[in-house]
Amino acid sequence: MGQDTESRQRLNLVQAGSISEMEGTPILISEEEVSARMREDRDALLTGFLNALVVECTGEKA
Amino acid sequence: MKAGRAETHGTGEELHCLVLQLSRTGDVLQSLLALKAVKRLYPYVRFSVVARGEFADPFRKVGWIDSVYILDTASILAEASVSHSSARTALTEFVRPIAEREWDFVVDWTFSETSSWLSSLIPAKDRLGYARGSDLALRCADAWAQYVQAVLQGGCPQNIHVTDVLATQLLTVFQIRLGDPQPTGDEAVTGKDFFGETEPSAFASWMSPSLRWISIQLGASRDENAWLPGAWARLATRILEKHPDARIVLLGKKEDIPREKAFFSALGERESIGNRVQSLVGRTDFTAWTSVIGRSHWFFAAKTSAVHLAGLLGTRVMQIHPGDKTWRESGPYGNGHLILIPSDAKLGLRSIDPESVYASWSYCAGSSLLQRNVTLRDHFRKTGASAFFANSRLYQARIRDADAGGGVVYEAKSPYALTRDEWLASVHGHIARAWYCGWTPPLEAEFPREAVSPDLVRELRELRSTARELARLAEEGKRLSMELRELGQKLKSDRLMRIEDRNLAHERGRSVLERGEKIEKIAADRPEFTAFARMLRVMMHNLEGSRLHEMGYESALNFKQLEEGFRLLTDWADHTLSLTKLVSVGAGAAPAKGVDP
Repeated sequence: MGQDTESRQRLNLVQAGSISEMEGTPILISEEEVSARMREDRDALLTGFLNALVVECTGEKA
Repeated sequence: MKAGRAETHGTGEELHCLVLQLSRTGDVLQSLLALKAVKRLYPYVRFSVVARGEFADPFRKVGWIDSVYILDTASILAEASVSHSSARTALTEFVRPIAEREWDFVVDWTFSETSSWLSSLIPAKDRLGYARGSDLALRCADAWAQYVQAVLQGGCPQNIHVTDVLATQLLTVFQIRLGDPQPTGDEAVTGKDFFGETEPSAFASWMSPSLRWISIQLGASRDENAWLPGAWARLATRILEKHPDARIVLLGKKEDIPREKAFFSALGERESIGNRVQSLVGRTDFTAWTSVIGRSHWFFAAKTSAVHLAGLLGTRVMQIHPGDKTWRESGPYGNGHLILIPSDAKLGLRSIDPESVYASWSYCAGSSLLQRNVTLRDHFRKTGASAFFANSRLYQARIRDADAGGGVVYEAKSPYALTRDEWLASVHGHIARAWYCGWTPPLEAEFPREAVSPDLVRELRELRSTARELARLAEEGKRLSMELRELGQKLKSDRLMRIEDRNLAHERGRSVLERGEKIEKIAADRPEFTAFARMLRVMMHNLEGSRLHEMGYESALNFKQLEEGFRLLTDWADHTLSLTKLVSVGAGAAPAKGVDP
């Protein structure tokens, strides 16, 4: 049961991109780091969205 | 009833699909038609959309769109002019409620830089269209999106209608994920009830169904695409003189009011004519516009998004199109619509005379008896338009049977000489169907023999030898990519390896790139291969693997796809050239079905 739960958690983390595989050895990343990365990704996407919108509508860089 | 998950979903499970359509009215209407076609086959999929406020009315008017999220561009730009951070806050507030919902599918049908960022901000199980990769570069989330980016947006000739591209793209992923669609009857997707029960309208009182109503959209998407008001007035006069039961309604935006004035000025003061023309220019909102076009028997327009509205409502369209590359992929959708284009696009709309529009319309809108007993050429002569027969080409829209590939095709009603670009448009369309649907039409079905001119024969001979050279390069690219894959599979790590393995990987990688560069170089000198070069570039940009063997394999698949395309192109060139050999001296070639001799 415990192993199943751990496997499921690992699967979820892999899907969320928080485990990187190098030389076959999984490296776990802390939950805080996952959140920080997701925040960074979202911030970058929002910035890209805003810049693209401004360029599209005004022809000027944001 | 076919087996499949459709039945399971029919028991109550609903799936949610969000469509991003941030473009203007024409794209909104084409998306709506594609969605309705898909909804009919997968009724348990619930659709929501993101649109811009000024173009969202069509989405709001149908009952089967769950939520319409409005991207208020003006207020975000106003925030951006004050401060970047307040604009970001406004965007965050806009995205939050959308991103918090659980989406099974997010579909970007805007295919733009802007929409690609928004798409990636919304979590979903499946994604179609444009998005952003982990490196934030623009990515195509599926194969049809690659075709859109490389071919449609690259301005390459192709003949698959935008509505068919969108519907097929979505149906493909639904069929893979959800199983076969629910069987449907022959019920048409388009029709007067497209937007549900039409509201009681002020126009209903005078638009008597016993009269023949023809609505004319005076303006166009751009000024250069508009037909002159004087030409519309001459056409209207001709129709009203010849058809006592005809009535005309003028439509247009507020900016078309000068056109309206010019129209009436050219129409003159004949009471019997003027009394039968009503103008609503500058006075219709979306509901009224829909109501009038829906009640009309025919809708006449130049190049404007309004033809898509008429198509949705099942009102037959007579479109006067400048004949640029876009007419086959964004013409009016449905059976029986007519498109008249100049025989040479350089001549523009001014080369299309009102007499030829009237002759084309009166022939095709006339009785089948007329069409059986009189040729189009004779009809042009009788209506006094024979001088214009050579200046224009007439096409009629037809929905192809599902077992022949489906989709709309525009069939020539008047004789014409096939140009290289028209030939390429058909062949590119068929290659895309072969790539993404596994379907190609029988070769003999496509081109009438008499449309193959000596110029085209010469061009196809040259094209065929180049296509063979390109197929060889693509085959080499595929083989070298597979060698790269095998090398990668043998390596324990992509980072730590023996020096000789590293050198071999570099050498193989370089060879693969060289084949791609050679294909691009040939395409740079021969524009008829531009679509292939663009496809290769887009496909290689969208490699998803992170390991050497994964990228080698994907690269091999890309070259294989290209090789298949070059071979299909060669087959079509062989077939077209063989048509010219079949003509026996003195026998005379029989005209193709439906084409005037």
